[in-house]
Amino acid sequence: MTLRVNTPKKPYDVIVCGAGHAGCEAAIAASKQGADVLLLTGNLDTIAQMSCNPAIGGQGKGQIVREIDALGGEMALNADFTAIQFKLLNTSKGKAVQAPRAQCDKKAYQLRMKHVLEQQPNLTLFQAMVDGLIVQNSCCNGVTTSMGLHFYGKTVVVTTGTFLQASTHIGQSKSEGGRLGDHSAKGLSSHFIKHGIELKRFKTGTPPRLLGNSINFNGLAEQSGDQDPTKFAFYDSRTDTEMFHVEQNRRWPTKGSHELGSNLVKCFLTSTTETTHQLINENLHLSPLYKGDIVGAGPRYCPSIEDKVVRFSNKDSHRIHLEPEGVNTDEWYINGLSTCLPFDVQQKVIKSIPGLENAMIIRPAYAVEYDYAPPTQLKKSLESLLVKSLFFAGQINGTSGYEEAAAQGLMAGINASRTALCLNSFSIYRDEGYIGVLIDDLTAKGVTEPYRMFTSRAEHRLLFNHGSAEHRFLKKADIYNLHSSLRRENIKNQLQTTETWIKIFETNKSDSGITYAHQIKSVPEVEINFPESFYQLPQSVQNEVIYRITYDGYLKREIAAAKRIKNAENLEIPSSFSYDSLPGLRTECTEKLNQVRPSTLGQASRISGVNPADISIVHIYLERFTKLQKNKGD
Amino acid sequence: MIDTIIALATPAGESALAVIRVSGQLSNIIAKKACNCTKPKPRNAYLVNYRSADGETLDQVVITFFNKGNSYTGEVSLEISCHGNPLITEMICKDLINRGCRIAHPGEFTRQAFLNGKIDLPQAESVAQIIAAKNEQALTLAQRNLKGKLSDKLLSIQQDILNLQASIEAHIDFPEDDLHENDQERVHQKVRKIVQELEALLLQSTRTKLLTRNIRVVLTGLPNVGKSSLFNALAGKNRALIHSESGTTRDYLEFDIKIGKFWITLVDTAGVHNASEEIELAGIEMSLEQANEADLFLWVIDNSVPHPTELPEKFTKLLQSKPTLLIRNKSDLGKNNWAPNYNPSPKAINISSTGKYGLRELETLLLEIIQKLTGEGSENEYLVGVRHEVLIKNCLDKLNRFLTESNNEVGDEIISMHLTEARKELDIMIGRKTNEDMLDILFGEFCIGK
Repeated sequence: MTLRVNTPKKPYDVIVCGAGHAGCEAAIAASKQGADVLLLTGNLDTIAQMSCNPAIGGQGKGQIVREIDALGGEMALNADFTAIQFKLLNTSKGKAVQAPRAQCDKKAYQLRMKHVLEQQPNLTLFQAMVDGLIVQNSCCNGVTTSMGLHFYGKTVVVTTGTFLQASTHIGQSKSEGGRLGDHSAKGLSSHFIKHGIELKRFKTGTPPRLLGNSINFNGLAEQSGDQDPTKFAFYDSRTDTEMFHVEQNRRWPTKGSHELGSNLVKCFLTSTTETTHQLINENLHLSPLYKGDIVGAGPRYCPSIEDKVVRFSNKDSHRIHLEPEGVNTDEWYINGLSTCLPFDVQQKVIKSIPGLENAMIIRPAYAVEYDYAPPTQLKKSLESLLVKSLFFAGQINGTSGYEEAAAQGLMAGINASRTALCLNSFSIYRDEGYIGVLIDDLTAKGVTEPYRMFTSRAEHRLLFNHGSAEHRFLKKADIYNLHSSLRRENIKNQLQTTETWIKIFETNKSDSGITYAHQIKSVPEVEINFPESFYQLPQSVQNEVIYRITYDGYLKREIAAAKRIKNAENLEIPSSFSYDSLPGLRTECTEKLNQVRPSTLGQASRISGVNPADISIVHIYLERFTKLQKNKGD
Repeated sequence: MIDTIIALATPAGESALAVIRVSGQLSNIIAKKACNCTKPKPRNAYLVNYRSADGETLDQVVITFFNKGNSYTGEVSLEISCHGNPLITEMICKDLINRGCRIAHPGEFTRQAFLNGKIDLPQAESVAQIIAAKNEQALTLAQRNLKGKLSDKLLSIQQDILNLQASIEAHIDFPEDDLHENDQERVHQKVRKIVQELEALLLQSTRTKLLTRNIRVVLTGLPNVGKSSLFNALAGKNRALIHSESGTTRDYLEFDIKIGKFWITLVDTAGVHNASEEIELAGIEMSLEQANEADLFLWVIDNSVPHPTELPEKFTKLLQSKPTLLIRNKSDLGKNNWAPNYNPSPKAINISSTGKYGLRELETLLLEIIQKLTGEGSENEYLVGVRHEVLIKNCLDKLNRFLTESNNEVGDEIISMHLTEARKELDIMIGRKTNEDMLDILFGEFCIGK
């Protein structure tokens, strides 16, 4: 294997720029599809870095990670094997919206992912700063680097994260970089603009990190993980080689000897005080957010502490979670205290919080501002509508979160390789999983703040319980060769076992005289005596059987509803269909439709600012248009 | 190109004036060629001669031209006011068809207006109701809807549901945040309040029906108490056959009259008693059918004799279930002043339909009852059409499921689903609220961000 520099005649199938959570998945997925992949990163030491919270999963996100696993991605395994605390969220809110979450060892996570990349066949890893695109006839066929090297590829996947034209802010102090202490990706922005790709600014932030032995944990509430961890990856369908593909290698701790992947640490809880809020209010004028130095929109679901204090002035305290960044470091992440106030104010703020009176900041909090490319400029395959063979994934598409990035990376990677290999594109629809919702929301609706997954974004979230991801994507895995044939076979068997047991429970009566199904719906499952053989099934199958029975009626309704929607949904809007001459369509709506150019009526209906009345107009004229076209053809 | 459609905008038949509406591209050409009026100023009236394509002058007409976007339908339009002779209107319409127009389908003008964004869906429906409105009150309501009053009411209900949902979703999507637990009792109270508001709207739909059709007033009672003579006195014509032999009215008779501003269909039915003749039995059966359809009853008794016998039970029950006015007829011949012994006893009035006394008082009393029935004058009046009625019922159904299931310990994601579905029914009536709207409320109201 040689690095192919300046070889336009022998291009890579896929070049991935950036090795964050999106880039890693993109490169792995593309190479698994059989493509010849080059992965370029500005710094080999920061591969798959968790720049903010050292945790994977959480509400909406945990489900995405399970879907990534069901689609052959790496994030789930990587999180499981490097986790130091597991927690299943929403255990009291209903099974459809339960979500796994894990604190991970930040460094272990990076190293393991790096090793996965190093071992992946068809994948070349190289450290280089990409500073330009090679574009001919509106088709991207390579990149240039700051060293002056040219790399040629049939397709290019761009995953710049927060690095595009990035600047960090701490109070008045402003410097270039996508992460404190890191570089900024320059040059690329102007290339995008040159080729007609619009760019906008977003902002995000991260809290300070403290030295653990300067924190007084006495008296702070402890938060431990679950006794019986819910992991991200599906294990019952995997062979040992698939499970421990990195761990099998001698240079990595072998299977079983590795202490990660279990509950090793505790997190702690504290909260802000009146003094904290007073300090923040007094120093608000020094925050670049309030001074107007930062123009990009930030995420509402992850506000800075100054935002929380100002917007919710009636609350006299906000929760602060203390989370360890790993087992080989004493660096602690202060969840809930994201800020870009000047460093001296940060120090005072920290000291005003119980348990942190003497705590030492070893990495200041900061805000980062970066370019993103509004994702309405993309096809559903995540290929640019403006430059052929150019794909975008992750934060450059205006999202936030490692999981959302990884999911896009996976989709872009599969599609870039399939484009290079002249295969049809791969897509996931809204009624198939959170990843389908994510891609459709991005490409059809666009974003107004860094996009994060919420379960409420999914119309059919009852169908998306985290445990069913492997079953849901079985067909896709079959068609697109996403797993080994053995794993697919195992999933098939599991699905069959699930169906069989559902039938058994619906017909057989328990000792209480009613069917098991009836019992499952009426009493807590711990009180039920299931047949002995049921307990011998893998836990995942048991859970799924019970879920399917508990939600039976609702699931049927959802499936029927999804089908109904799909019929109108799938009504294709031909590219020759013009919105301009439609009487009755509001100008604002015409503009939106022209900008987004939805490919189906369903997509059109989800564009913000397009309401049902508009859709019925489009629908009427669409039918008329199709009729006329057909008549012409006859 | 969209067809140019035409329709007679005024009622068919003879009248002083008739208006023919033309909507579509051909309006220009018709103004020019048939009316010799090139480039008419929009919204100006022109007195012209209407010439057919054969060159024959059909009538002297007044035309008004409307620009695209500024007409009722939103299309280029022309209104032709001609003399209200059916022959003339027919000739003009024929000529317009000759020139490439076609007769509009029912409701097509309104549909175009809707398609062109001139009106929204509830407004489009109000137009249909304005046309169907049977009295001034219905007209006021329909006009109020046209201005979006019903939409406003529904919007506020939609907003309430959205607020509720935001509080539930906040807990689902941000389990690690420090949010106050939702107080189930408070949530229920809010839902019950929404349910009450929707039920009030539904009640309106019953009234709406009364306002858009005639109110059915059914005369009922024993044979030979003078129902038909009262019917005739109210109708003002000798329509029903009056005979002193009992059981004359074997079929039923209808007549439309106007009392105050309300249109009423008076229904005269066969007297009810334990009949023996087959034909009478059939008549009584018919009376019962009519009684079932009644909006209110005029229960006629003979005041000149002591009350002879009760009505069959089926009738007594019906009389108690609907507004009833007890009419003691033949009061000029005697005043026994009988009243039924149930509570509340119906309002009673002494009259003589042949002696023509008490009739004016009867009309006043009738009007009062009708006003009460149609809820005239109350502040929160909305014209709720059939489509709205169905959607509101569906919405109520979902909200009631929410109430039962949230008591049964099902997951929050399920009860939230019922709210989403309830919202969807409202969305159909007034336009969609999206998940983004919900998130806006959520982030505005809850401090999110672990």
